[in-house]
Amino acid sequence: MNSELARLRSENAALRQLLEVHELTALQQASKAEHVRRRLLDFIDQAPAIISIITGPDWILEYANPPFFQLISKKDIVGKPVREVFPEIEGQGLFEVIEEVMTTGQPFTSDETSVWFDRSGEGTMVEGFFNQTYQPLRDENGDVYGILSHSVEVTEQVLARRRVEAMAAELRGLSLASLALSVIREPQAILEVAATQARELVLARRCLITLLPVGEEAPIQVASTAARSDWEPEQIALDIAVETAQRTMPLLLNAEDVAERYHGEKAPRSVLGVPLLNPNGEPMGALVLFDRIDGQFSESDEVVMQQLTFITAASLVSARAYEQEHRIAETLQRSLLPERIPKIPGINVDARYLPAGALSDVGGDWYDVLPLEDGRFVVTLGDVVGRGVRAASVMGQLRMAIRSYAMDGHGPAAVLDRADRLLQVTDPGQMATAIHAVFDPMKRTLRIASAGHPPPVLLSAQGEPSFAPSQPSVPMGVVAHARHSESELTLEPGSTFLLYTDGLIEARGEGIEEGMERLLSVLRSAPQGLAELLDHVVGQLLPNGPVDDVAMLGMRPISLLSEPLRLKVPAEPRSVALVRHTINWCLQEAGATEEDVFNVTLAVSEACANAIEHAYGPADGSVVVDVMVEEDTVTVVVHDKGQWRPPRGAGRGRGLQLIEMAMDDVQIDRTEGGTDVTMRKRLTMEPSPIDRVES
Amino acid sequence: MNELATLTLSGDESVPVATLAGEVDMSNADEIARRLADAVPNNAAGLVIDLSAATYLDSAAIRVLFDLARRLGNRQQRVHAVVPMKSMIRRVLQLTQVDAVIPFEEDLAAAVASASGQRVENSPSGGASPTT
Repeated sequence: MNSELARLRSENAALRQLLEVHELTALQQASKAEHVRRRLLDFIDQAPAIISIITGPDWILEYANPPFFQLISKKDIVGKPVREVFPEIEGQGLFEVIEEVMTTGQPFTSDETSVWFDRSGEGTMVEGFFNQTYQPLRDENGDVYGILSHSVEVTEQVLARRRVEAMAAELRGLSLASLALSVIREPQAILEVAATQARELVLARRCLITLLPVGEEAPIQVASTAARSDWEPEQIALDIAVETAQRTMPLLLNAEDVAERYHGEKAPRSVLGVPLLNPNGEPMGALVLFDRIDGQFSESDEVVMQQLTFITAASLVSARAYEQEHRIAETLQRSLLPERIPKIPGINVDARYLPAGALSDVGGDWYDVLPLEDGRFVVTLGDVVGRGVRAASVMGQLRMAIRSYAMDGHGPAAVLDRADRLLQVTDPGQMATAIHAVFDPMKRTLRIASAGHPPPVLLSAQGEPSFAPSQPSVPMGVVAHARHSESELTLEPGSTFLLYTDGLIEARGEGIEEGMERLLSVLRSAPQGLAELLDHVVGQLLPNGPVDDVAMLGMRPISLLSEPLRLKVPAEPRSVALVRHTINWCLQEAGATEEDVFNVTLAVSEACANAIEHAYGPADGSVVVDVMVEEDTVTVVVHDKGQWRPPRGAGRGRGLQLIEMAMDDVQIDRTEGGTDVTMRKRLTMEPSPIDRVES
Repeated sequence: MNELATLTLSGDESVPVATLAGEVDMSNADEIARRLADAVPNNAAGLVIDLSAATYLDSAAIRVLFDLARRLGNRQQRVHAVVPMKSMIRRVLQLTQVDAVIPFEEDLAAAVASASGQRVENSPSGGASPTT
């Protein structure tokens, strides 16, 4: 610029003055600019922001304002390359930003940027947060020769906000934990969830929850979670948990405390133990966290864990109460179901009761089989609506009421009418469905009454299932003076009559119609045996176990003499008729002639009468009758536990006389245990109706 | 309910008819015996017991019949029974010699005629039980 001025000065005097004026102005301007620069630097020096200037290809720190120095506690840095002065910044992305701005000339801003640096100057790295601006500095040609960096430290704000966020997360975590724990009813599951939640709320490597023993010999329940999945809590951890529970106060041990107490590899680095207290403040157990991931446990961790243990303890108390109620209801219900199904000659009866999962209430489902005095028997299968102890106890009452009415001789519909009225009086508002039927094994007829129950299934001997025709009916407990109606069907030999409660056919996301169709369809592929058939139906319809309780009962007429028949009757006069009727029917089925049937019946009846009359005193006892048919010979053995006495008195010998007349061979064996009267007779056989069907 | 046997009384005062249907064994024999005894007034000529609908009689029932025959015999009253030839119980009654104290008739009319004394017959000599 000066050489041109000289040239112009010599060429044009007229211009000289003007240019001198100009030169003067430029000088003045330069001086003015220097003044401004000073003012600016003063301003920058006093600015609350952290300001620095980097220039040149080596990124010389040209200028740093006092806040900059306050931040880093380093002196003697101006005029040196930043990489040399701040080697610890390398790798945190800041130098990359400087490079970017230097190259592109684009300014860069970022908020709350994390920088780890040596704040104290003692070599300890700490984290700070900064809102930063990198402004390119350009020369007169517009080229970038440096960067003006302007930062405001926001570390306090960020940390404060993070604390608030953490608290919100804790609250959210706690309320989620609370929600989760409130719906779980199984103590072990509660502990598992609590242990998992604890480690999410406060970052720790391991969490252990133990419960103190309840009662005499109950084991300590343990739930534990750990970063390492194979962690088995060591004795030291268990001891700390027990100690925490017993002191009924939180136990917070950080590095120094731990070092004082424990030595060795197994020792934790830090511990936060919080007792689980019941509503009376008594310890139930403890939750312990070990080794906080990013340092030491704090008092705020303790507060959070206290909240969690409070929720956990409350859930445990209610779970234990629930468990107890569940156990009572289950015991009650089990005690109300028949322990085993009585063996009934000529018919195979089997049943299944499937309680829903352990975590749900017991239902009011039941089944019952009761022999009547005349050789018929009643079957009942029903479902009291509702769950828990109440449903189970109503079920028990209803079951006994139905038994009583049936024993009094009322027909199926009349039994249900009466049970219905009784239910409305004793348990208003309770509803129940049931099927009640009386089966006559001699005629193989079944009289059925239903009270709003799903229809029974009849599976023919050929394996074709269909729903048994039944009259429409209302459940019990709903309509005052409801009248139930009866229908009758004959069970052919080899056919199966199946009763069930709706839990069997109510699959998730499926209507009852589809469930009924599915039942028919699985029956088409059912195996032969009755027990196998029931298991097949359960396995196919409820592969994952029942959602609701399920009761199921199947009955199938079988040939009476396909296996030896054993009758056990009370040693009472009225038993004689039952034995006689059964044998009568049994021999008719076997195809014996009317005369043979009469004779054998007479002989067995006399032998039983003798056992009852002579062999027993007033004390109660029973008489057992075994009947076997082999080829064309029937053998009947009447056992009693008394001592056979020779017939006494006028006319008393007629019984034995009749037995000898009626049978081919009679043998009386007296032992210490009792008396066996064995009688044989060759039969004149006719083809059996059952054999005809089965062969 | 579960009545094994029914006993129906008909006929007139001179010859009441007791119709026994069903089965008699040790469980109901005493009851049947009491009702049969009550069925015969002192002034009756005799009793007809109709067993044509009785399907089963065992030794307890036979004892009842012997006792009845003895008691009525003591009062000079006759007992006749209707026991058709085809009845299953006939053989039992014969084997135990009930027919020795209670004559069998094939039908009711004949039995009533016999019991009222309109027919000549061998009157049983009393209530002695046959020995076995």
